[in-house]
This record gives sequence, C-alpha cells and structure tokens, in this order.
Amino acid sequence: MGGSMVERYQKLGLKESLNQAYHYYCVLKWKKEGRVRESESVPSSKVITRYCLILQLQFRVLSQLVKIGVSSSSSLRVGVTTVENSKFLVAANLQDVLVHIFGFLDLKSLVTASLVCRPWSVAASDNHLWQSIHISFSGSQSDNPNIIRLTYDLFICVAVLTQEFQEKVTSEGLLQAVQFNCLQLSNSKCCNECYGKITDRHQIIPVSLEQIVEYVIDESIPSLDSDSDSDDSVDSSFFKLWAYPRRFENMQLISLLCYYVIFGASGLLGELYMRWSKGNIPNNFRALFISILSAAATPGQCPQAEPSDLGWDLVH
Amino acid sequence: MASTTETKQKKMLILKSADNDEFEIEESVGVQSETIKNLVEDGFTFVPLPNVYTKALIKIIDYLKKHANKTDSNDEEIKTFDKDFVNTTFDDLFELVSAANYLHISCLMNMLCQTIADRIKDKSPEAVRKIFHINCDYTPEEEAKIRKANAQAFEGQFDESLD
Repeated sequence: MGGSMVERYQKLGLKESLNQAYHYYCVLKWKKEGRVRESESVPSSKVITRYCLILQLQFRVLSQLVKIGVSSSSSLRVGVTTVENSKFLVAANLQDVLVHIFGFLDLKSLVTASLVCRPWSVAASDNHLWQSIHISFSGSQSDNPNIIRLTYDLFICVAVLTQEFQEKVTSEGLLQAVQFNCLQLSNSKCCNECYGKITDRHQIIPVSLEQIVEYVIDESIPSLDSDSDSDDSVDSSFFKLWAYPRRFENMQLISLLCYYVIFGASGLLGELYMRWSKGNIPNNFRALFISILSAAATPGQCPQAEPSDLGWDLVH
Repeated sequence: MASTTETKQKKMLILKSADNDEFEIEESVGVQSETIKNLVEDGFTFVPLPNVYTKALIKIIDYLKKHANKTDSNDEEIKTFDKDFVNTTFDDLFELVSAANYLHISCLMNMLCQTIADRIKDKSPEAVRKIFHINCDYTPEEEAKIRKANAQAFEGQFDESLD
C-alpha cells in the first residue's frame, strides 16, 4: 500500500521539485475530486484561484501532460466549435464533463457509451462514477479501487447477458445480490493483487470475468483443469477462496437469479418454478427440483452445488 | 425593484469572454459561479474568461440573472425559463456545459448534464458518434471484437435519431 495520492505526493517532494504549473494543476485536480482538505499542507483555495489565472496561459503546455487520449483526429467536439486552440482547453476539462454527464445515465446507456470510443470508455469507467453506483446499490462505501473496477466489469458482463436477464437484474434486490458477489469475489481477488496477503489456507487462483459471471449466475465454481488425483487437498483450499457466507437472504436472491436464467431456457421448469414459488409443491418435491436445476445449470462439474451444501434446507 | 441609488452602490463585475467581448454584471449575479466568487473574494472586479465564448456567456449571464432573483413567487417562471434554456442544439449544449464546468455553476451544470444524458440515453454507439462528431478510434478488429463480446448489448432497440 503506497498511502494516499497526497501522501505519495508529499513523500516524493513533488511540491518542491515539480514545475510550478504542473504542481498547481495536480492540486487543483485533487481539490476538485475532494482529495485535499483545506487543513492539509497544500496551497489554500485562494492561492489556487490566483494560480488558476496563470494556469489559463499555460494550459497548452499542461495539455501535453494531461492528454486524455484525445488525439486531434478524434477530438470530441464538446464545445469546440470556434477557435482551434481551444481544443486543448476542452481536452483538459473533457473527462470531467463526460464523467459528470455519465453520472446521469442508466446502466445500459453507460455501457453503450463506453463502446463509443476510447476516451469515452475511459470516462465511463471512472472510479467515482462506479463508486457512486456501488454506493447507491450496496449502501456502503468502498475505497478499494479494485472492487469498483470489478463492479464495472461485472456490470458490463451482466448487463449484456440477456435482455430478459437484464430486466431482472435491474430490480433492486437482485442487483444487491450481484453486488454482494462482486464484493466477495473482489475481496478474495484483492488479497492476491493488492495486498499480497495470501494466507496458507487460501489458494488464490486467477479468475476470468466469464468465470465470475458464471459464478454469480449459477454459483458454480469455474471449472479448472486440475488433476483429479489431488482433488481432496486442492479442492478444500480452493473452495475456501470461494467460501460463501451463509447469508440466506442473499442466497435466496442468487437462487432467483439462477432461476430466471433457466426460466428463459425451459418453459417447463419455468412453470414448475412458478408453482414452486407459490408454495404449491410439497417440500421433498422442491428438493428434487433444486437438484435438477443445479444439474442443469452446471453440467457435471459442481459437487459443491449440492442443495444441502448451500444451505437450502435452511432457506425455507 | 432596485432604486437608482442602490444600483449605483451595487458592485459591478466585468466579464471578458474569449472573443474579447466585455459584459458588466452585478456582483450578486456573478457570485453564483464558484470561479467568479473566488476571484471576487480576492478583490478582482475584472474577470477574464478565456474558456468561455461570447455566445455561451450571453446565455449563461441570462441564466444567472434569472436565478439570482429567485423567489417563491417566480418558481414557475424559472422552470419555464430552464426548459427553454436547454431546448437547444447539441452543439450549443456542449458549449454551455464546458462553460458551466469552467465557471463552476453546479446547478446549471447538473441541469445541462441531465439534459445531455437524457438525450443520449438508449442511442446506438453510431448515433452517439454522429452527434458528438467523434471518429471511432477503435480499429475494425477491435470493434468487431467488442461487438462480439457484447453482442447482447446491441440487440435491443436503439434510438437512431440525431436530436
């Protein structure tokens, strides 16, 4: 952990060594992002304001520093309608403006927007944006950039899976379930990537996005080409990485999620599900149904998805 | 409302646009912008705005004037004004939004961004590119790859209109 951006900045003595204009640009940017408090040993707002004016003159130089991937050929014409050199000014502000605009978009439009071009893709994956989405869904704040980033990727995957699925996902409860899984997954991922704290009880295995989505949707553990003879030892540690706290509310939502997907595939099962959800099917029937579902969802590769293992008995 | 004596006492600010046009506004109107407010607190009365063009500045000053006199009674009037204000072309909107961003007028900023977001909602990437005059900088291979990876995202109904 390298400390906050401000700490690193101070540690490296950038304040003394950095070209003044760049230095103030940094501070301005942080200020805007709320990273710098007034009390910290950085220039006060008034000083910054004065330097704002100086900065105007040096913006062209600065734009070299903050070229946000806007090449002249692909300039977004946000406000660039008149004078040529204003492109530079706009480029420097562009990202902020785009992020602001994207803040008002829904999930699907945001995904579409990220497919427009590179600068947009960068703006659409802005951490603050996804952090606020994260907060609005999970109700808690997370400063871990990986969680946010992963949330983003996962949303992209989930949002595009199927039209039907997407509709279900946007219902609040299910989104929370997805969110919950994101946290679970990225926590375990971060052990590996950020903090280097790998406990001997956990075996960390790189996981692709597809596998994550697979996991979220049908709770199956991604299939790996592990040797069958070392099954016992590998599996026990492996499953601990994916160990799932028995939060029954979430379990229920996940199961719903799972059903919805299968619901689209099989009308019969769907009908069964409807009847089941109304409680028309007796209990033992339900257990049978669940095992059919798990089998259908994860053909031949998920011993851990046995209903009893997942606490199904306790759910209802 | 304001008598002549009051008008004289009121501090005036001069805003200079990027096209070198100068506008005189009351301080109370100008301080709705954070950028101008900071400068006023530092004792400036002449405010050069090298990022803001005359066309946008005129509109923004209109907006600020309207909102400076905000009371309960003219709430409806302001709402109508806002509606007309954002009912303009995309190019104008972008110019306004970058000006508002530079001037740090948060309520205007939010209103404009909301408007733009509403208008690009549910549009296809192609339509958005046309609206924003963007050349796609993905290579054809990359684009095909992305399209394949996100095939489902392109299945729904898109609004292809450009307004």
